[in-house]
Amino acid sequence: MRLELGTFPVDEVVMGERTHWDSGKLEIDAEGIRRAILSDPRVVEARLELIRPGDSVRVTSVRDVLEPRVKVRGPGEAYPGVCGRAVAPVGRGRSHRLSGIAVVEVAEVDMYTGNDGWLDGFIDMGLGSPVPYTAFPNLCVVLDVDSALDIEDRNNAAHSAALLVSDQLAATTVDLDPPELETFELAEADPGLPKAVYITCHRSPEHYSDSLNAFWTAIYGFTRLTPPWLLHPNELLDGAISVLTSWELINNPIVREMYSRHGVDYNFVGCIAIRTRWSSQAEKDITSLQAAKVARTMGASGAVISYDAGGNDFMEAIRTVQACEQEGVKAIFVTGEESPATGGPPLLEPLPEAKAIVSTGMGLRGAGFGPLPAVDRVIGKKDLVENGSTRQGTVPAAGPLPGIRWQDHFGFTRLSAYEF
Amino acid sequence: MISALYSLALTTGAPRIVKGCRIEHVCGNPALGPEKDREYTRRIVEMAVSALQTAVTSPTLFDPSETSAKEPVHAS
Repeated sequence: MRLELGTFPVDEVVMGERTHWDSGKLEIDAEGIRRAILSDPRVVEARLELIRPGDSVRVTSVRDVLEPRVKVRGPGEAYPGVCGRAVAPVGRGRSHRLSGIAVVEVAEVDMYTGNDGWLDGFIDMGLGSPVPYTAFPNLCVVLDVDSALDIEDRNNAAHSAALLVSDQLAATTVDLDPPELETFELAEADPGLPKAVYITCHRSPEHYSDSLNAFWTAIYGFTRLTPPWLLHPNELLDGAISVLTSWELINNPIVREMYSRHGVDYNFVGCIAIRTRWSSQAEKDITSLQAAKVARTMGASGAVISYDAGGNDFMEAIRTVQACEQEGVKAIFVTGEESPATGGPPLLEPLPEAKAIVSTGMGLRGAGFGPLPAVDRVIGKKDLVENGSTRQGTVPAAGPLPGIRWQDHFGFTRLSAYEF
Repeated sequence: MISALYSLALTTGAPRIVKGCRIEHVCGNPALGPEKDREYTRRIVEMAVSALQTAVTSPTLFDPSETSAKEPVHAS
């Protein structure tokens, strides 16, 4: 499986008469794109707003952030499976990406009805934020979706609109030669090297939403609770796992880092994706044990394991670490830490098998980077829930805030602490 | 402690743990229908009451799905 990934850097972005990319300059025809979005009768109103690093602006009601991508050769399409897109396996042929710009989907539509389906995060464009996509301009797609529709149709409408914008921006590169071209292929490597896998754990909204089709992080469009998936890393590089946020998932630094050591320190033999937030002990145990078994069956003697959510999901993740170690697969656990303010240990369940841990810090719910000053402008909902866990109280979104609400799940940031 | 996710209760050191069903219905299982659900709930609660009367020296798991008395499982 060979994937060519062409990068078209965006050094300058302007609103203009036609959407096109030329030598690093991206021009966006906001009115033309708006008309295309509104051709979907489910969308009542749409507006495009460009925001730049250093702007005194905060974006709330953020549902996803997308990197503009297009498949120019080979099967499938970027961000497969979501909103009815093709489900052919991706990871082959050639894809193009625009770097240095992201599409931010903004709509006051919960991800699903039920616990944790609420939107309480935000993007702050103040300088120095560790959130990777705030380092460059973002195109906000601010949507008003027909409130008479049910929650899943509203989600489908909003995300379809964001995908449309991402598609139209990326389409500007289809007939061009990319200034940068990378090739990803797990070529034959030294058979004497050990084998390593990446196990990526993703929260499923199935049991909190009581729906098989709730909108959330999707694998080929599926958000439901499923047994482990065996994926080629190229599929991840093509967006096979997307939403919340697609930008982070498609640019997952663990995948790129493991690729860079392929044939050098180890042979990278593939990715295993598991769903977390099963609701019984047996289901959680099966998930972890099967993930470890698949890793072992692939001949792996090492695994990097990351996960993307909170305490409930931590159980499958840490149990996968344990199951891998018990199968003879050395496990490296990439995890955020609980805030000391909670009074608990840094890891919910510190099992002895978790011997090699990479901490990505404490980002969630104000424990991370901050405080943040008041801003001049808010895009999206004008107030924020004060306490994301209890849903108690609201604070003005424009006001000063104690910190960002973002967790680094995959190691994007470079902040480190040394004990000496 | 009655817990659907009893592995966590064991490793964090709860002394007596009764296996519950699921996060969303710890003390019963509506899928069983009203009669069997009530019976199952009763078994869990009775197991919890009997656990309270059992001396333990380390985190100990009690399984209400077992019909005959078995050795309780201890955390290693």
